[in-house]
Amino acid sequence: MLKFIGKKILILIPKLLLISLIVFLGLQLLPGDAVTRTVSPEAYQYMTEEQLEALRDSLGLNDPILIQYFRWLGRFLTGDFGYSQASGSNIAQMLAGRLPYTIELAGWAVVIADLIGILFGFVAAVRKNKPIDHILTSGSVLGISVPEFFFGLVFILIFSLKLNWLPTGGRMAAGETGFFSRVRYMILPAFTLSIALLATLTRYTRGCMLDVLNKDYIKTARSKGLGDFVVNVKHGLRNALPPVLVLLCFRLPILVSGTVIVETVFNYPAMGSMILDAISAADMTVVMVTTMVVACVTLIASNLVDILTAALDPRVRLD
Amino acid sequence: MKKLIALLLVLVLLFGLAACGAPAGENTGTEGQEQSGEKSDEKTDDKTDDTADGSAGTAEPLKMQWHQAGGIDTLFESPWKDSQSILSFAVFETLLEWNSDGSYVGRLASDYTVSDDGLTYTFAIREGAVWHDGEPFTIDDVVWSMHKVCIAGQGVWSSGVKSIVGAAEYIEGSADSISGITTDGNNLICTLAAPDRVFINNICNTRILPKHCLENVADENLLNDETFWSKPVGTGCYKIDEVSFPDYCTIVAFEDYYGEQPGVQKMLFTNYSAGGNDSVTAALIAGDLDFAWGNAVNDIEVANNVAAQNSDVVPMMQVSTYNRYLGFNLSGREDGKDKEDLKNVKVRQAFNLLIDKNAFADFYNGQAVALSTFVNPESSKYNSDIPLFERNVEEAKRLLDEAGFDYSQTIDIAYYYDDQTTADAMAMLKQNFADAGVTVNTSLMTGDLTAAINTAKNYDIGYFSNGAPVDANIMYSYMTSDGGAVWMGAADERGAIFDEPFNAWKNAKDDAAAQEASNKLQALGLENCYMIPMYCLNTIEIYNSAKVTIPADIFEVDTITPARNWKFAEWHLN
Repeated sequence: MLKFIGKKILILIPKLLLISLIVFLGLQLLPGDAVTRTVSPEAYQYMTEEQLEALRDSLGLNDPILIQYFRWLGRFLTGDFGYSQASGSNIAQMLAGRLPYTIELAGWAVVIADLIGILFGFVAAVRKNKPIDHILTSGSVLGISVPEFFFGLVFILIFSLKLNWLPTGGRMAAGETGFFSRVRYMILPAFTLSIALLATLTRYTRGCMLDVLNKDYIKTARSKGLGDFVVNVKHGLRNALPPVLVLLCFRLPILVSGTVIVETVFNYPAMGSMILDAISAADMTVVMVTTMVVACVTLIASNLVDILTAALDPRVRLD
Repeated sequence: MKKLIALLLVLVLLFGLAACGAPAGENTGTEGQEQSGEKSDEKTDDKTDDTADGSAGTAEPLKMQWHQAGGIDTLFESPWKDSQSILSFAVFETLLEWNSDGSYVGRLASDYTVSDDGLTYTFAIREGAVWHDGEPFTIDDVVWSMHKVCIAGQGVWSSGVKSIVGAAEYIEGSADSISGITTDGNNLICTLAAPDRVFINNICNTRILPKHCLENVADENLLNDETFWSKPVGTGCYKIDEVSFPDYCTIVAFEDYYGEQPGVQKMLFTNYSAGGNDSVTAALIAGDLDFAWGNAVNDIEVANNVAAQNSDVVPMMQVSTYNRYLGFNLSGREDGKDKEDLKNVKVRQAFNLLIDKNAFADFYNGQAVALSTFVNPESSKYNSDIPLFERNVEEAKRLLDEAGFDYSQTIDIAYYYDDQTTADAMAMLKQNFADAGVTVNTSLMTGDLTAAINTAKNYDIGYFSNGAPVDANIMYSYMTSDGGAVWMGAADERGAIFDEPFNAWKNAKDDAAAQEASNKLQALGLENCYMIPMYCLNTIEIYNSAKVTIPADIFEVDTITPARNWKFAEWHLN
């Protein structure tokens, strides 16, 4: 198993290098250069060519592309992500101030989706064709098909504006930066983000449970006189969970990218808004770094799926 | 084994989630709890908000919107780069500030005089002021700031200093200092090459920064030095207190301020950039935000809707100089498809008459005003001899026929605003021209806009904007021989018409002479139509009247001047 994990990590490195090269070269193909993208058209028309050239020199834009790439990669690997061309902020500090919140938001969305989605799927399966099954199934269709921003807006309307229970947005109240004081700010965004995954898990869990509940060993368990709870949970759910967990791992990267919309709806400044702002401002250095971060997360999640699958099913390791 | 792995994963996940999200921003406690008893000669405002112990740090804060054009990440934005938040005006000061009636209030200059020939401005620099870190403010800070803003400052924030004698030489590096800036004791003397009517406004766009904090910083890093801009100091009546990037910061009354103490002891600035104007709207309705300034809510219908849902909220519309216009490309297209007809003034006059500017303004539900000239017709500076704009298709056709216009050609109009309102407006514009048989093609410029607008210039007419100049007549500077944008062309022709009247306005010794010159500029602008003003977009300010009382006249200024007197001493929480 350790050998398998080691192999997975070793293969990860060249993949990340390849992604970094593709991202870097792709951004070079954008029209113009960083100077023309960070200076407004109105201001640009009054700048002399000497001033523009001096600005290009200071940003290193006149060096050969490969040199620019290796310079950037070398700094990246040492934790020096450079500075935002738009705001001048240290990108590492920008990430430090936002990435944890994205992970936190996505993480709680996963927890909520797991707990509720698996529970709903389980209940729908064991109460198949009963009213509760129909309600949960219909609800899950709604959760998958309706865009999450709509749910977010509805939640704000009801819980923030009408009932005044929760804030309309933001990450924290002034001076209250501790985890428990920020919980009320996380409730609506985390719940909104979890809806699509929750609905998917509900449907998938129901399907896996129904499949498992038809197996012979379930019939054997029932014929041995075991109670419904033991049969359904200990034998049924336990065997239905592995494919559900695999699905969950596949959906993790989508969850991270899905925070962009939720962050906008709830004014929750994290990675999503940082990426959006950087793209709008054509802030290449920030775009490169954040793209690499997202690519890393996606690759790591994908490898986690493989490791988890191997841990759950030894046959995979032997392939 | 499987159970153990699963259990470990769950434990790590839960632990990580609970530990995650620790804010990376600095969180400093309140400093200087006690209000100082030593004040300048100005009286203390009686209407301070009640606090348990009278300290600014525990006071109920006024909730404001924190906006920085370059984004809010780890640094405050330098007022030499942009200044679009009240925070900047509260923390940093300039030499003078202006009231809506045109009078001024001395800030870092207690007073000023102008020589009879209008070439020499003498500022009496204030004594006794201190920076928020306790260091004394001196005339050296002003001299240093004026030099460095020329190098590091962007746009309008350095425009005043650049008109001083010797500024050009200093900027290009051929001089070590600006020869037109001298000192005589505690007096700062600025010498101009020619009288300049707006110099005194423009020079006050420059906020003074502390020399002792930034003198050792390289010029290229002045706007984003991490040490200073993570928590900068100024001389304003407020100082920065608590900071938590990128979420919020607080400012509190500066106990050693030389002037009147502000009426509101503490302001909380919250970042709404992730959610945009929609989150600002929601926060206003919910009462999470008390004051939104600078067009944060930029639609009067939305503003009225907010007021309908929260009766404490009061929206106010302020006359503005922000305008959008059509500019003719007479400099030539890179693709060679120049339209010679546009060089005929009758054709340009006809195009002006074809546009349904009132319909354009109607897109903004009463917030916009159709323009005949670049001066807002709701402004006292409008040339009253010029009738308000009325579309006239028949007259336009007559002019086009007289000019021998080639109706077979297609006129290319380019724009770069990608909102739906602009897309709808462009569709309407096409129809406006079609009413006279003129074929128009509209296209959205994307990608490298700077190159598209100024280098390729593959358009005949551009739909552009100008962001609220201090005085609308400054728009006519673009029509002078040395003031136009790259794409305008015909510099000599424009100069022959506009140079003299524009200089007459700029050098005018009094308001009456300035208005006479302005009237002439407006008439010439309408007559020659090198740029067709479309509409002026008034700005909306919105605040919670149940929470705070703000002097209403601060929004009665005719323009959005960065050196507005905010009268913080007269603000008070209700």
